[in-house]
Amino acid sequence: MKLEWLKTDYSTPPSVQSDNNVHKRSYLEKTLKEITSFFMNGIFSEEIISRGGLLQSIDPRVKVLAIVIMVITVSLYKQLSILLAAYSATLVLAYFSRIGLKFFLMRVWFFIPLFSGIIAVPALFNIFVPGDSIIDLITLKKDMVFGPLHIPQTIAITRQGALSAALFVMRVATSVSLVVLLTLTTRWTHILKALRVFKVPQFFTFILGMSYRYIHLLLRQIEAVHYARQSRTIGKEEGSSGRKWIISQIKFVLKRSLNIGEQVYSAMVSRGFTYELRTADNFKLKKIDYICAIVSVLLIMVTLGFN
Amino acid sequence: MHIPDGYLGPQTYIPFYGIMLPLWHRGSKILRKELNAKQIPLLALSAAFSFVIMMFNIPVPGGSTGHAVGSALIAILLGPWAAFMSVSMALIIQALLFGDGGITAIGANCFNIAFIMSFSGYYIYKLLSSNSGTNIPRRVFAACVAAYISINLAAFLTAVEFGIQPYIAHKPDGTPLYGPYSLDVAVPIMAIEHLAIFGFIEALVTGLVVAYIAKTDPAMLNIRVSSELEVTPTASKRYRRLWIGLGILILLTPLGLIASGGSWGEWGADELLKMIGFAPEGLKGLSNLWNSVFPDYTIPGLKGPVESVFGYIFSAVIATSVILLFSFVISKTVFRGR
Repeated sequence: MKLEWLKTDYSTPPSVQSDNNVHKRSYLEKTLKEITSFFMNGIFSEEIISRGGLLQSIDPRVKVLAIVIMVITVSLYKQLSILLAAYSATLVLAYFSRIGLKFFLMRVWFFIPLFSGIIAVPALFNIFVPGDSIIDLITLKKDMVFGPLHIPQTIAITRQGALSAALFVMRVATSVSLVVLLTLTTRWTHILKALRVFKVPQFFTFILGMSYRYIHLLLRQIEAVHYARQSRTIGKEEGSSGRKWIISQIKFVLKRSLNIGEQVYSAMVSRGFTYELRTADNFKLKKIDYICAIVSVLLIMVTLGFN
Repeated sequence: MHIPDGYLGPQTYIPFYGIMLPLWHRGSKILRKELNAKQIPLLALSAAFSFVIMMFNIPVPGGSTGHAVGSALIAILLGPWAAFMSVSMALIIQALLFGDGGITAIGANCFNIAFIMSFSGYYIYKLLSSNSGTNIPRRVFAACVAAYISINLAAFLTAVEFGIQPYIAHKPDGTPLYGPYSLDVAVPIMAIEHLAIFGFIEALVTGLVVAYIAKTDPAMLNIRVSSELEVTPTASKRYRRLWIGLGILILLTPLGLIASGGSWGEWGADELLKMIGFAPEGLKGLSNLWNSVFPDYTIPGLKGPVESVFGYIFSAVIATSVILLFSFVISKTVFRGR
């Protein structure tokens, strides 16, 4: 299933003035862009799930459990080399799950931990992480103190700083890669069902599932009113009028979600809801699931052993 | 403010799951009693609302845009337990589905954003808007202060959780294993960001929504999905929980410092045992900071970390009292006649 046409970014409709006029994106465009990326997220994963690679064919229960334990294991690693190996493993998994490498890397590095990458940079220097110097950068006349910051006489990149920055970035990247692999290859409903197997109370999984469905509904409505507003806005809008409008929208959405809640409850009662929640469980463990489970356990034990 | 995976070590994220599990259990019990079967759709929809409220960009004075977290607003409108549960659900969906906030950090994120922010926001609003009746400006003011303080509390806790990492988890040569910044860097950065920018955006959105609802739909300000806290006869009793909560938070402020001093018992005894007698650089910097803020603040015979601990508590008490007193006086005088 190719959905190329859906990838077109419709959040910013073509406008006559935007060619030469570099203007800040308005609040409407920003919200619309966020909403679009929310829906695209679902569409992308649906498409990747339909490709049928390695991770797609594994039972959700095994997959959720394995990934959660792996994320915990990643948080236990102390050696950079093991973290790098684990990160490479996620790339291999992505390849065998038929996730485009470029898409996967973009997804992991540009969406989430870019921020972590930037904030790790200052950690290189002995201003923040004291330790043994590798490269001396600047030598000042004497030590300086700016509020809580103590600037030493020689500003240097430290071994500890560089290692801690690398550890930090790789740890975040590996954990995020694992979670992205899970969400790209598993349907949300299956993740929820898998959670139930691990004794997460049905109360929670049921609400999570229902909530996710109504997030779609609410966002569709918000999207529609934002488009309506945008298409009727000409020229530059005053900040205060935009604020007024957004505030009324927030109230409207709140009122609406409470109303829907009431209506859904009535609908449930009238259909004979007795507080017993039942879902069809049709998971069945196959050979590949056992192999996957054994391989994961081995990997976790071996890496922790080397750690 | 969502902490991703890899920022916190297991010594930090496991205890937060330990704190959150009984809280979630209690939350579901309380709401179940209040609403019976109705809670399922209502909670699902308020969770959806808390998810989408974070997507609304709003123009802020100065030409930029921003968005609010919304926990304080939801707590004011639906009550603290409903806000706590629905914001938790929204955070879990964000973590499991969008990788926004880590899986290991769900406990810590829910504690900061769903629990602390909702409850502090709710009780500060209640305290400042008590007996306000139809005095709308006072209610709006109370909502602004509640949003501002609660988001700053949550940001402060996030910074402390992040900032204690170099003290409690590092290699023998001092290389931090998780978040590399110590308290003296993490706390000021988060504090400045939230005191100067995000706090005001949160206050703006919360205040404006409360004002708008008060004008167009005043009954809604009294709608509460959960009303378990309404059986409070006297004023002193009504606010006891707020005072206890604030007290605990104030006492919690020097937690990170205690960790480096060696009495962080239940959170990772092994690591800490090694560190007894070790005074990290950052701690010295903090002592300097507090000494310069309170130049005469010295306790004879107490040096280093202990001093910082008291400095922390002392300043937290002073700051909290000043803010609350100031807000209370304003809410009672400025908005009196309206």
